Amino acid sequence: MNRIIRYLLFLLFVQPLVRLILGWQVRNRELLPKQGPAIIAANHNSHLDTMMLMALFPMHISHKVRPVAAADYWLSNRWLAWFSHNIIDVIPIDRERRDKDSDPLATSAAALANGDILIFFPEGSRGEPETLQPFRPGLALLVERFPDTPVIPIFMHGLGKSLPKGSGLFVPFFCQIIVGQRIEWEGKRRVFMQRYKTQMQQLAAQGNFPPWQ
Amino acid sequence: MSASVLRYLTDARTDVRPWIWSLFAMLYLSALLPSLPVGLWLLGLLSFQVLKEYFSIVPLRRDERVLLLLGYATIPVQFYLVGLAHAAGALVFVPFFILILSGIGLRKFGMTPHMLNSTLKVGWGVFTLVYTFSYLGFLLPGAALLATENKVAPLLYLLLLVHSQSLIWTGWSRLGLNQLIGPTGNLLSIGATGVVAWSIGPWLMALPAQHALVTGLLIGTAAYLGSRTIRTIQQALYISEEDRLLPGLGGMLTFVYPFVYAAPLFYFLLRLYQ
Repeated sequence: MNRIIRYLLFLLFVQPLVRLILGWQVRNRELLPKQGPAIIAANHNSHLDTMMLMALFPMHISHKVRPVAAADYWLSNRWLAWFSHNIIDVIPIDRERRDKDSDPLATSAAALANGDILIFFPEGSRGEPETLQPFRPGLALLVERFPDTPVIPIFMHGLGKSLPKGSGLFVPFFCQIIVGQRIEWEGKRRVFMQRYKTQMQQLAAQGNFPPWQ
Repeated sequence: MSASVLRYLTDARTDVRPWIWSLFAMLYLSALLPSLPVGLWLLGLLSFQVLKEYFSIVPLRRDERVLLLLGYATIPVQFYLVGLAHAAGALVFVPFFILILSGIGLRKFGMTPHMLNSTLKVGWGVFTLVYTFSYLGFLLPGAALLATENKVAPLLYLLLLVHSQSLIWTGWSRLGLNQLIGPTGNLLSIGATGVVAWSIGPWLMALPAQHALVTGLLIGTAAYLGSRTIRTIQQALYISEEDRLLPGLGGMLTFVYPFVYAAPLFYFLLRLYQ
């Protein structure tokens, strides 16, 4: 039942919003993974990011695409928690680590073991719109456990203008999505994160985006 | 001529082509379908898409988001006025809106270059992509303001002229007649548009031959100027030759700009001939 609601939501709301109201231009779409397990590591500007990234995948594998989302926000109340779990099928992550003995990446690891495609935001949170924030090491910690998992960097521009953090005013803008080459794990977390950062900066530079002050 | 529609279809990446065909379909459907409301919806949707593309490529500031939203809000009002055949309303609404926009800018940013910059950027987009573009609505089948004895909607005639000009120009470049690319070629393509207008105008639009010829020459010139304008804007924004064919980066603007001067001009000429 939930899967039907999810399909309908994507068909009747997400796809029209993404394709008609916002619009996108995807570069290097062929680099997107065709199946899981895989990690999509993207920059985070807006609540629309997750929706846009999920809509990139064909409907027949959309149930395998799962965003890793902050438990303190997405599970903050009963209704949002129901929606997050049953419709978007988020993988909650405890950013605040209230239980020091718990493993915040356990649910993500289980999803990868299950062959899911994870949407991961290494910046941790929506920051300054259309500006790359410092990346947290969680991505490297996760990849270290699954070194053969493809990690696909994606740079997005435009959604931070449409619905930036701290604003409830939605203004349509085209979204530019640039998919990067798969990043291989070479054994060191710091090296991996540095390579991810370099590639994200290169993808951002490809776009030649106008300034957003 | 830079706005070569055929060039999109031959040079643009294959994944972009379906999108270009959908733009064609929207324009020609609005010209062929006998329903005025459907035609206005299609043109309104097209206007929204190109305005969004314009707002996406020009440098903007966060505090201008409200102005952009107001800009989008003009689209339903303007096309509604066109649908009502309320010529006076459709004529003054957007200029009046730009006056209000400058007032809001003045209140928001004070008498600063920023206020002028914002008003000009948003105002130019709304003026060309909503206001002048909405004149296509007056040329739709069933539009009340242009009751002529033509066999087809004036919009279809305009589309045929503008696209035949692109076709002629592209034909030369495909045939390797490089000496016809540049100012000489532009003049010749405008002349050729005049000949096309002269040959089909009396038949399709019941226009006298000399009126059809003048119309073709003026429409060809206006379409050329529209293409030049958008190319200049794109160059000023450092949008590359390849990117300007892509949706979201200027591809829609390149497609639509030949009409932003040609549409009001054609409407004016038809009113003059009546």
